[in-house]
Amino acid sequence: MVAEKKNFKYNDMDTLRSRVIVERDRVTSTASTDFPHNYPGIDLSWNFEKFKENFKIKINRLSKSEMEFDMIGIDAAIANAFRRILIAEVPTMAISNVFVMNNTSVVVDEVLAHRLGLVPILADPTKFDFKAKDETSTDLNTIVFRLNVKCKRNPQASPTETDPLKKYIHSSVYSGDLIWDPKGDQAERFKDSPIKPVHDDIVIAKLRPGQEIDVEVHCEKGLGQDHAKWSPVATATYRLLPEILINGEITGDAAIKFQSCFPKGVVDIVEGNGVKKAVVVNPRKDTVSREVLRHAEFENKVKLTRVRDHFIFTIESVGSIEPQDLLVQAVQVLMDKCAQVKRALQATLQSE
Amino acid sequence: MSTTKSARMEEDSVEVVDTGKVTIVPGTMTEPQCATFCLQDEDHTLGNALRWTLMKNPEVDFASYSIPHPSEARTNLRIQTSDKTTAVDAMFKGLDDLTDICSHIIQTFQAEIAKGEFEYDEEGVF
Repeated sequence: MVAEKKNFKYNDMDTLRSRVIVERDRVTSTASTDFPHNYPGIDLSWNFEKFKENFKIKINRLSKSEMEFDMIGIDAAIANAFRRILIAEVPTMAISNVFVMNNTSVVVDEVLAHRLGLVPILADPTKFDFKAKDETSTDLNTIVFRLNVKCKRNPQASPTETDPLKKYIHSSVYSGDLIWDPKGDQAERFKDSPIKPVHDDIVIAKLRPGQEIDVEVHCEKGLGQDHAKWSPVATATYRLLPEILINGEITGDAAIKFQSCFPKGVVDIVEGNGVKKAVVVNPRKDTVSREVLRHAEFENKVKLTRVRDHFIFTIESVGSIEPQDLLVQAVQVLMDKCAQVKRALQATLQSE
Repeated sequence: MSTTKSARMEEDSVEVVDTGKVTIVPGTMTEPQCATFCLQDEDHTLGNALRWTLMKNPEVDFASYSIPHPSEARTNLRIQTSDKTTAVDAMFKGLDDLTDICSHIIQTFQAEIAKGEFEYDEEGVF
């Protein structure tokens, strides 16, 4: 990473190399140019030691479902690969076959099957195999659930009751009604972490007395690129760290106006010798709305940029894989791809 | 359903390499210093990342990728190098560099997690 910018000039080589420049009506200097022979006197060829020195990860927040972290010192080509893999290529388990024994609800079979498919399943996908199209289901590639719910009147309810939840039994079918049916040695293998839907309170269908749903569902391992139900994340995004550079000083009423151009917490007003002065304290909070560039008085006083190799990642897991495991798995997927291509290329060269 | 664990073990021990996964597009390797590789079932994820590591190699004069048609799951990767290396060697170096980057990222990330210097909130949604 290029050192922090003190210099306001923004078309110098260092800035063009390391910053994306945000102007009033356009964004420039977006492409990375850090390649050998591009800049005289600078050796930009690949250097693993240098990369290790500059590369940093800083985790900001972590919870069971979300993680925000900074990945610094890497190119967008690779950061974007991780984002893409998180969305589309980290495998999970999801319901892919629904065998309908009986469905007298108002939800037709195919809609019911689709709704069931989108229910996130809490099962470790690394403990299962992909099931090829012509392969038969085994306990190593399939998880079976039963869903058998019948709606009845609640004999205990008062005759004037109008709330269906009290008036009837099983007026709503929830994801929690899916009962895992362990096959083979699954009960033994997963005794520490029983397989179930991530959430028990997802409404799948609504029933009225006499209606019934009786289905068997099979979950298989899959990738988000085949269907979004296999995507392990709700979102995986990154943004570049914003940067606000002030030329000289912004003081007095202009400082107050300057502060109001940014979200709360980005700019502070510091008083010294009875003069109010605007100081940028936390550019990370800036949404880069560019409001400040609309005002003539700040022309040539402020420059907005983004640090090209500083990625603020947010991973929001659907719940089946914890976010800190998701990133490791995503990076692993890219490594596997490299290994696979390498082996395939060797094989191709040998066969020629 | 039956357990086929033993059958699966046997499968794992025999490594199956699909030669169709990577091919050299016919007519593109007029000399060892240039070639267009066709990567089956790969997209921008590997294409762009690999392009970047290739371009970082000072002996690579040209590296670029394209997806010829959106309905075909394949990526073409063109490499031209100086006389000091060959397109195939550059490709192997690119793949190795990318693997190095990945393993370093995993290490760094796991070290950060182990340090535990972050806000943790079990149920938190931000």
